[in-house]
Amino acid sequence: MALEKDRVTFWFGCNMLRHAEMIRLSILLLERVGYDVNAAGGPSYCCGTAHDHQPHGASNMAGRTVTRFNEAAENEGRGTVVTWCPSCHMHMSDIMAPGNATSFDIAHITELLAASADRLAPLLTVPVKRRVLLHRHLGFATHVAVNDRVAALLREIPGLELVDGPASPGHMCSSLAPIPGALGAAVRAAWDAAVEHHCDTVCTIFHSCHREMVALDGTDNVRVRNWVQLIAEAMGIDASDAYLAWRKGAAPDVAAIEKAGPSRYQALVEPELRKPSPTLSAGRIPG
Amino acid sequence: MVTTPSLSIRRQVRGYLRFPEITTIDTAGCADGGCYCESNRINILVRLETQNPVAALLHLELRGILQESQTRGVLEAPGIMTDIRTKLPAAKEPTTEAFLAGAGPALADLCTACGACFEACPMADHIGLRKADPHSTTDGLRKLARGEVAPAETISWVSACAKSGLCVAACPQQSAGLNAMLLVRIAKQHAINDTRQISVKPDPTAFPRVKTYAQLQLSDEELDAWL
Repeated sequence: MALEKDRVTFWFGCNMLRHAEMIRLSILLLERVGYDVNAAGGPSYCCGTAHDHQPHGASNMAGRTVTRFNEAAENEGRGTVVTWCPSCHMHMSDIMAPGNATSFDIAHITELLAASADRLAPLLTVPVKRRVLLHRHLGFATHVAVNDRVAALLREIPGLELVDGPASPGHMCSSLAPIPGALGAAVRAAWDAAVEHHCDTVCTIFHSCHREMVALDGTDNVRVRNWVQLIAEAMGIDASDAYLAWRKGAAPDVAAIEKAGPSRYQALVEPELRKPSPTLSAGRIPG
Repeated sequence: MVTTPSLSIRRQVRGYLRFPEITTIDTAGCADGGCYCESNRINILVRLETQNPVAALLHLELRGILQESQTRGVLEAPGIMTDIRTKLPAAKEPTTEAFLAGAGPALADLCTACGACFEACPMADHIGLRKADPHSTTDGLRKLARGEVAPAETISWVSACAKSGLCVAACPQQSAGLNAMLLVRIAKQHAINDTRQISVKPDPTAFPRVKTYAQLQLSDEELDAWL
């Protein structure tokens, strides 16, 4: 049983639900370094950050989510909410907390793991022979030095060579999507840098970047992995990536589609999986 | 007097502080610990804790009492980062809606429309706005935050905010409490909901989509426990 101070809620956000394996790996990593973890996410834990057009509704969402975390802190001793999504983290810090009394602190998962490097490093026993370009963004450094934290974690992996990629605007790729050309330029800059530096892997930090990058997986002999997947590889843990496989043409198994609802799958999921990569949209034809 | 670095630094964004030759610091120099002290000059963002010797050290450095050369490296000492949780700010209002309603005019009052935030913004290049006048563009920011109509350049700019965050450190009013990125965010909200200068096309499929992804991948136990 973990000490109360190590009981945490892992708040993975809404859009991480595309990447179930990455949620599970995040939980596993936190547990391996000593945290007792409850995971929470999805629309019922929405921060409200994407709902500027409905301030009253967004306010209610924020209030509901804070209330649930307060209850976890007061009833279960989970006084730390561990964030994944930079939008959720910043929204909690800058907008949710000033408008709702909180009885918990927050910490980004990369901060906790980097601070636990002494416990994590001995678990990284499997060499990961990859030359990795780290895909970075400028944003979120106002709150968490996430680029530095992920780089520090990756440097603990035996066999891995790390190359810093260009820092793109925004806090993650999805923030660039509404600006014509900006997302494609960011993805292309990272990809071109990986090729230029003879990297065989592009490492994503956030889910929305991963979502955009995986469409290019294999192009130019460069693979796409998230940082939790690379750490898992070093721990000898399977780090499969269903979203990547689907984005490259595979389909979920029939039972999973039946469970989700075939019509919802066709209407809501398939169009996203089949859209062209932003780099292709920007005019570059990968070799 | 300080003999051991404490563990209560709440957040370190970046910074290289060295503290090999200093062994004692009078924490009385940081009597107002607990404030929020930031410095663009040495690229540090640290929440200070009362009677925290490391924070006090930083505070002394930030105030020019110590030189950066005297403090470089202290944050990289073993064990220094063991408490990295961020203590959230106390609630100022009972709802986020109420907080945002009050925060807009308050932040606008702090803004001098100097244009530094606009000049630091990388998105201005992406939207062909680099030659816009920084002063009038950021004056429009103040107007929006107060619920008033803003010029087209301001609307284009706040519409393109991708939260790069460079505006925060660029703002000379940061030490006075102006969070430039929050001001832009609130200005954009007013442009959507009050002045109606930005139209938003809501995506009603966003939540159903992520729920469908959840159903595709999560076990029944995970669905029950996590969502």
